[in-house]
Amino acid sequence: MAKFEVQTTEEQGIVVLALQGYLDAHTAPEFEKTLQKVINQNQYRIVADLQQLRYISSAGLGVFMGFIEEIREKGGDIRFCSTEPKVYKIFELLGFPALFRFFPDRQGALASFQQDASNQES
Amino acid sequence: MKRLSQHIIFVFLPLIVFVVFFIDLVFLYSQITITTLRIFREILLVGLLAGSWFFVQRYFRVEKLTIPQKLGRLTALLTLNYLVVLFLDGLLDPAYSDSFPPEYQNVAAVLFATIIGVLAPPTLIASLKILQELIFYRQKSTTRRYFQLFLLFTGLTSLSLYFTQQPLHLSFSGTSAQNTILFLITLFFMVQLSFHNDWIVYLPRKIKWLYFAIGIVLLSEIYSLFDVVYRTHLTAYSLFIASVSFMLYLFLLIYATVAILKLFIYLPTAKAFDRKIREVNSLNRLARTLNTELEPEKLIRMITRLSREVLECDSTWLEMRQEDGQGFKIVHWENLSEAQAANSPFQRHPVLVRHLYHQKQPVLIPDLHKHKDYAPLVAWKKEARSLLAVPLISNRDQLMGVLYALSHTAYAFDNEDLSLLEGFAHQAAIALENAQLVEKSIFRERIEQELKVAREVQLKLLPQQLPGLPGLEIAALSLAAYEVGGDYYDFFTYPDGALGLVIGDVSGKGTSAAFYVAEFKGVIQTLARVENDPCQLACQANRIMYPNMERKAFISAIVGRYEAENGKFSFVRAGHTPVLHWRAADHHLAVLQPPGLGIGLEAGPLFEKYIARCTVRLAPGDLLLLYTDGLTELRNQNEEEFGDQRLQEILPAVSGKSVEEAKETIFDQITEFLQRRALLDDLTLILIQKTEVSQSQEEGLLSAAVQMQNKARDNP
Repeated sequence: MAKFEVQTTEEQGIVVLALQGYLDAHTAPEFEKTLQKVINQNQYRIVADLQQLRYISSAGLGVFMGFIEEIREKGGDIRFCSTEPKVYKIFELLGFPALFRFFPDRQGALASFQQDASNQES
Repeated sequence: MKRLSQHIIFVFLPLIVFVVFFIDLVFLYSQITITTLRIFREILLVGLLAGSWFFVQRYFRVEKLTIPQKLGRLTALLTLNYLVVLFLDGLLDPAYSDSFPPEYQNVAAVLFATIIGVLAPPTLIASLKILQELIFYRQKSTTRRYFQLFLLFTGLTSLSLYFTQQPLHLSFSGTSAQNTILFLITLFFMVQLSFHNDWIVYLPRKIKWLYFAIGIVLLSEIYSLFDVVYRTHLTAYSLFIASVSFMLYLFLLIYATVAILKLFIYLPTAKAFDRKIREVNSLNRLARTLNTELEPEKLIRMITRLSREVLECDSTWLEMRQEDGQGFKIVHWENLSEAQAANSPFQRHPVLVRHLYHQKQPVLIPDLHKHKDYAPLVAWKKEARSLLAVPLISNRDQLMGVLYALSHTAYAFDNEDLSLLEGFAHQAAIALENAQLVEKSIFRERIEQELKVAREVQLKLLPQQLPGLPGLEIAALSLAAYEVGGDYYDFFTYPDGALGLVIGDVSGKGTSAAFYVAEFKGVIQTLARVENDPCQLACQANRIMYPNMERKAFISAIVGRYEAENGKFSFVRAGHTPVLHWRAADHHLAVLQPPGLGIGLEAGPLFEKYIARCTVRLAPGDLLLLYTDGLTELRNQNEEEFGDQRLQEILPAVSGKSVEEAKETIFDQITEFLQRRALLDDLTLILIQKTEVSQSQEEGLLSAAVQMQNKARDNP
């Protein structure tokens, strides 16, 4: 089956998950583990960089849905960036843009978190 | 009566002995010779011999005894002979003449000879029987023949000796020649039979030593048996019995000598031989369990135990690769502490890692104290001196685990041990792999069974019959992937009489998806009794489903409504794929994708805010296509996707055909695209076509519409 990979990095105190390849029913459990690990480290501000993501199935979308409630309860969020049009269409069909914020690039997504932080301070 | 005949021997034998004893006394005191009485005496003695034979056959059952028991009986019998003689020597003072055969000189001689005469035949016949059993331990077709010939010539020689009334001289002159020739033939068979002692080879090493020691004593006992116990007494009693006894005694002597020699020869190699036997046995045992033992747990225990038994070492343990493929763990051990097992230093040791874990080579370290590299291993277990480790390699050349053996003495293992343990590990690897495969396939079978049930449930949820409506043709196609997916469609009637339809796709696969489908169907059908608006229906369905669903699960759906009287089709799209509308009038394909969230993604407020109704009016010849993403995400062998492009070409291509024909065309197109590849996901599509409505149908519709309005008025 098609390969899937995820790289976890940290930028400005925000976890960036760079997804790569095909996120489907077969690879979703692997991604679920990665996301669980991030949350177990009490990191709730997450950017999912989808630039290299070629396909996402309903099981893949389910992974985000499975965690978002907990993350938001803890004051965090998952934000998407650099989504390829074909993949964005899948998100769009299901109505994800109503539930999640999408950014054209990683900087935008990271900046939005910084913005939130400064808003809270003021 | 039968019991009596069985035990008659106990009357018969003592009677013979008594009569002979009486005759002997008469001869001794009367100093006369009565030939008839002498012949009668000899006949009685033949009877005594035959009776002894019968007695031994009947009451001295050696067939069921083990070899040690047989040898024990033999020793006991011979010892009994010696004890009797010793006892009699102290009590009596027999005197015999110097002639051959010797004659009694006093009553003591008669008594002594009688007792020995009674004792000797059963002893030697019993010994013969034991020898026969030992000889037949490994029987060849000729063995039995040789034995019978030996018995025949023993009898002939004895008769010859008896009739010539001469001792055996081993000369070829005169009457002795006949005796000598017969004797030599008998001797030949004795020697021949004496080499049938294969039972010695298979004795364990310790038993070989024991038998050798006992054998030396036994041999000297046998050797002096005839000289000390039998010679004069027995010859005086009966020359025939004496000669038969002598022949049997000689056979016993020869057999014992050869056996002792063989034991002596086999002693130095006994250890190696022992190990070989145990190796073969344990490999056999393992191979047998290979077919019977399917529980990996039990196999692992067996492997460590058997390897320790065979190598006679202090500790053995088995390391197995962990399920996640990360590293090895000691799963079972013999004679290690809990802490030692939990904290093995072997995977961190550079030499072992390189040889064992990377090159999959066996490792033999004769002395751990010799090199400081091994200090960590000695630190781990301070008694450790020599170590043997062999890899368990799977069929696919993967390292499954490592079998270790450890001894507290240096140089405890040699290359033979290494190859033995290697053979052992090879068998063990096969057995373990088989067991694991079986376990996996049982698991898979259970899953498949579960899927089958789910699949059956799911199929029952799909409508068995499509609704018939004047002016509207409907066709549906649902292809099931191998695994249970979550595709679903259904038709219903709104309270106001309009046709309702729903198509949905539950995220994920497997049984949970199937049960969400069942739940969803129930919710929709219940709501459809009271709700006329597809948008309200979807919103309420979301509110009901959301709390009951796992957070990572959701349902994408389209809920539609068709009003036959005006051809209006309105629907909401809850995160589902768009609806395609082919307008026959201007040959235009509209992709209808009003905003909407999937069901179960959000509790309600956002869902209801976001969702929007879309309404189109169908004209005659218009086509609607509703589908699940299984269609657009179809993949063929070249990993090519069916995609939107092909999808949008479908409707123009089938316009003008009936929906049934259109469905067939689409199905053909799908199979052609897939070639021979299996479906990865469920695929469902619904085709709806508005047809020309005839005059009569229009009237019917009108009346239906009036009825509907009345009904709506009655139930506000």
